[in-house]
Amino acid sequence: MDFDKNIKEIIEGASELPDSSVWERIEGTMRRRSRRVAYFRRGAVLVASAAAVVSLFMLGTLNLHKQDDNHLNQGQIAVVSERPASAPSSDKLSVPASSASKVSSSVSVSESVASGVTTVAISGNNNQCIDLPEFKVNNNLNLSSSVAQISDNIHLRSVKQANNSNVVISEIPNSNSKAISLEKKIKNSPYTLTFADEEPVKAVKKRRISAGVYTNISSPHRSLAQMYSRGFDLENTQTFMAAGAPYSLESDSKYYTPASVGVQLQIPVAGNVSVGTGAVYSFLRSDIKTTVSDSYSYTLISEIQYIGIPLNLIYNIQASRSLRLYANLGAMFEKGLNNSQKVTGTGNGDGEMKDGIDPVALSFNGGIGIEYMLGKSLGLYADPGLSYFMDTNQPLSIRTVQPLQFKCEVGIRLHL
Amino acid sequence: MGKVNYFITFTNIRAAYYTFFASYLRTMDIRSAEPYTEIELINGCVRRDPKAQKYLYEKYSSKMLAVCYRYTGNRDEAQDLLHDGFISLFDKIKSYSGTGSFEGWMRKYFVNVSLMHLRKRDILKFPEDFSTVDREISDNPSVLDNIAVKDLLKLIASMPTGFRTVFNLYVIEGFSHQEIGKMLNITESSSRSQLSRAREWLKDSLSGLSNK
Repeated sequence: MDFDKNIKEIIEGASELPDSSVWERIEGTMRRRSRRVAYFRRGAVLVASAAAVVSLFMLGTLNLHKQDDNHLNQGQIAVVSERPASAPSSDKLSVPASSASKVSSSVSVSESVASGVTTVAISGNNNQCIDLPEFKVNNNLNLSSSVAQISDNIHLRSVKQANNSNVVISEIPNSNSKAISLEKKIKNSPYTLTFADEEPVKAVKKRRISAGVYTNISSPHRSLAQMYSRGFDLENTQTFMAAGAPYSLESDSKYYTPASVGVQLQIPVAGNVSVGTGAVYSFLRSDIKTTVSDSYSYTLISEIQYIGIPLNLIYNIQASRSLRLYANLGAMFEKGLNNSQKVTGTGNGDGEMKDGIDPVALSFNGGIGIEYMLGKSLGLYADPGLSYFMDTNQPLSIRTVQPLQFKCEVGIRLHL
Repeated sequence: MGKVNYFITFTNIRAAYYTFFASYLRTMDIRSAEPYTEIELINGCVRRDPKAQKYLYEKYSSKMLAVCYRYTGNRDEAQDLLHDGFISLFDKIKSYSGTGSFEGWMRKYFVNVSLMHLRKRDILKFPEDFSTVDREISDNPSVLDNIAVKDLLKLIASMPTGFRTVFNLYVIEGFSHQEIGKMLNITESSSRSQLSRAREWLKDSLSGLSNK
């Protein structure tokens, strides 16, 4: 019928411009969905790495007193506890008989009272950690009434208090003296002193140079796109099934784990905050295989190299003698060095093309880091975190396909 | 092409090569009129590349909205269907066979989305007692001469639901009454009578329009 035909012709070309809000809604929905997928996929890795870092840190600080660094720096401390408003001076420091057995044979403890000050002297050349006997104090001991002295090769490692009285540790003014002064006033508050044989670790200098080798351990990304000759199936009828001519096109994209190597210098700026910068080289590879038919397929091998300058802010959260925990936040500016695309096809010869890359690729990253000190000036560190690669018109790579990536920087840091 | 060196001799299957190079020409910022070839666009959507998805939407959304509009008869409802349709389309685009026109496939997809919507709203129930009244109205193609596409679309959209659905499926999508009967769960004769009434309705409205 002409009427039907005419209507069909007119209507098939009809279009109706949708409101711009429709695409915004679609985009929002898609973004929420992909975010959910991404979080689900990475959730396990993130939780595991966070748990590992936290447990490592807890392990590291378990037996170390929070204030360690202060006395380690000097090798000597004074323990001062709060002084009561009125303190009668009739106190006596006593080393319980039972506690003598706790002291190693090579260490001797003696007690003397001179001009109202009780002095406990400990001497010896013990090469092991020893526990000092618990000092029992009778009612309201006068401040600075007890002094513990140790010999040259014994250094205080930690002070542990048996009850809840507050202990303040401060350095003894005379740095040449190896004396430890134990000043306390709270009745029945024994201290346990632990001595270590090691040389005290020098105060960690603030300037840090880190030479790191690190990789982004974001999982390799793979996507398989398939088109095959099966018609679209309308729910209730088979008539929509297109008569399928044999045709298939399959695209298999494989994005390898990106690898980076870099050097970084960290300079302290204020308090716990340092600024870090350096140079980083990255290598990205992806293979994209397209199968057009059984007899014809081609593979594109894309290799992209970047050189980048990171700019980081590092905040030291906590430090003990052997472990350091910090957070970092930063940006990286990268320039593509080489963008090579090789094609190998079946029976059609191979090809290669090279091209430049838009100058600056910007990415942001953040994470937490943990450093384990191997010696005085050498540390082993791991910085797990997340990177987000901004859309800066870069060639196809794992960064454009999966802009949010989990990374883990592992390296060696020299403290100069 | 400047610094681009091709060592490839394009023998056969030039088109296949073009498909792949086009994407790299794009990264080289060589602007072409069409940023994607059709295969590339589909592949991009299968990979869930947001740029490809946006391009697909920009390219087809107006036509697909017209499809939804002529089935729902309501523009807002049609826009909701357009939203839902594109979201599910991005999931199902990989089932496109690669045969036949992609636009045709999309059109069918949105017809299906619209029908499912109408079915969900339970408005595809037709009275079965229609007698097949094929009152012959003389075909007067001239009524269609002066009508704008937009007006005709509006007119179809304003048809009663039953008429509209059968009319769309038969006249525009090209289904037979038997197929429509199966799809809408009505008898073949009911489909026939709905169609003839729809035609009648449309012709009346059209002549009404042209008389104005």
